[in-house]
Amino acid sequence: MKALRRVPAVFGFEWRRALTIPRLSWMLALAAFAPVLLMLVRSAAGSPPPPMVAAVFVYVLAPGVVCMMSVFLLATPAISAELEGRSWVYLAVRPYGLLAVLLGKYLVAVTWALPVGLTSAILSSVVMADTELPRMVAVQSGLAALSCIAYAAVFLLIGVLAPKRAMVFGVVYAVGVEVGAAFIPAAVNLLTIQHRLRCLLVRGMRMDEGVAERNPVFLSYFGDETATWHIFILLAMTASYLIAAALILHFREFTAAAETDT
Amino acid sequence: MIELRGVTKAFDRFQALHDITTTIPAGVTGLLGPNGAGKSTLIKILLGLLKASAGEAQVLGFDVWQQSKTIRQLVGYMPEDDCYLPTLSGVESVQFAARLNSMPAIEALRRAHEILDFCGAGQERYRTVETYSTGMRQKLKFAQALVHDPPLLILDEPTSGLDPDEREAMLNRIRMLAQRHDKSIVICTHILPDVQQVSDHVVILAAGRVSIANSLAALSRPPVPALEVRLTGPRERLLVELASRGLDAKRGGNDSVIVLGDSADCVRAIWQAAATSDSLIRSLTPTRNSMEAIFLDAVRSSTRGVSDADS
Repeated sequence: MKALRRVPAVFGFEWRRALTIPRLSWMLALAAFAPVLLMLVRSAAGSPPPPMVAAVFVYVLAPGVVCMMSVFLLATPAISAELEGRSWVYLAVRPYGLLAVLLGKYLVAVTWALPVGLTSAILSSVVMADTELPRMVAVQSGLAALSCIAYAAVFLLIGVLAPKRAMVFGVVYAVGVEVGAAFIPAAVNLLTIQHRLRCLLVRGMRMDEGVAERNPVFLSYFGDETATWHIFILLAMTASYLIAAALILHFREFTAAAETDT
Repeated sequence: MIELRGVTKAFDRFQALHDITTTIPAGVTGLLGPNGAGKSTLIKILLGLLKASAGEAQVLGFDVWQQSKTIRQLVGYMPEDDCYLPTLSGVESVQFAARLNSMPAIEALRRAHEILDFCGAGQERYRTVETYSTGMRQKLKFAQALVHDPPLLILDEPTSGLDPDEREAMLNRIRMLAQRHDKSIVICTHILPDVQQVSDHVVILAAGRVSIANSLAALSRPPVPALEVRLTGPRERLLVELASRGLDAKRGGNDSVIVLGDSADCVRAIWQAAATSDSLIRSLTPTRNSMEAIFLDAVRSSTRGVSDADS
């Protein structure tokens, strides 16, 4: 509880540190990426896409690529940046400093990525949906929010596990697990965030109506659990990643990169 | 203040600390040692950033590993490396440190200004820390260590990179904190005159072992008491006069004379000899071992000990 009281301070200071023109620029570019690309795709196609195809396109680009990319860039280097910038000791010697910093940085990553993901999801939905626009906006916005919340935790954990090669391991995780393993029709895909988001998309956009009962392949990819269950599992995964990161930070001996003297 | 019992630390095959057992009392303590002696490792163990491979350590009565959070609340640490948070101003950095030590925002800001005033940081406090000179960075690190008013300060190379005026000012601050504010301070440095100027106690580490741990007064005292006579006038005649009075005297550095003994009779005889030899005594002081001599002796004897043990 003592650590939680310090989180707002870390959050405030980290937000101010993050508020730079280069960062604002690339966040704006990320937010614009999905709607601009979808606009080009739609104009090239000529005719409006079927609602299901439109929903999948928006999902892949906004809650998928844009949200994951935003939190990847913000959360993965959170710990390594402090170690390489020699500011680790500044934070580590404060009581509860490490936990407060971890949670503060997590919140900063989520709150920076969230507007980007939401803007991207809403604009992309507007570009692609000819019918059911309110539903599409609501579902894609919800998925964008959950994507930011869950991916921020997993990338932060990767940053804590491997601070020296955090970005490399982050890419390996994103490609290997969230793109590769998530599409294997086996129990392993249940452990991915992608699987839960995908199932939520299907439930939210009612893509499973009349399909699930008669299609075992469909069931193996999208299951038959309720949307509430998937949301609960996603939040539980987020909490467990954060707890694991906090425990590693507490027990691991980190030394700053620049230190050579014993 | 700090108790170490058999503290050992190994990194893979490299043994950084060997069975360190010592006590650091309240007051100002100089922690000395050549590069690679284990000073930084020892400090990190005291702060709970590294776990000792064996042994026990207590800081202010708290176990360094079990109660590290309590210790961090009670200890201010000034690291040797620059450890500033880019894009923040000086006052924001100090305020952030205070907030991480549980102070409310307004109180943290007030305290940050108070400490920066104490450290002699002027309007520079409003500039971003990346633009700071070495001297200002040292002041900032010192302020960050002090902002939560800890009873124990651990300062790693506090005067490194400072010009003579700034160095003197920093040493004065350390003295003031120890004498007027009752703080205990551990100074880890290579600048031996700084230790001689402000420390009450000295711990010298060499090759991961405690080579010397004693009060500075005891270490400075030579094995045989002696007096150093600085004079204006013929040194040789004074030496002859001293010998005729049965005193054991020899030439010292800078045209001084060293006389063995420090009794009142000895002092009287020196004054009489000076009068007879037409020499004018400028100063008459007990001789002290220099910090350099103490340090070099400690390091050499420790190195010899390690070589003997290896062979």
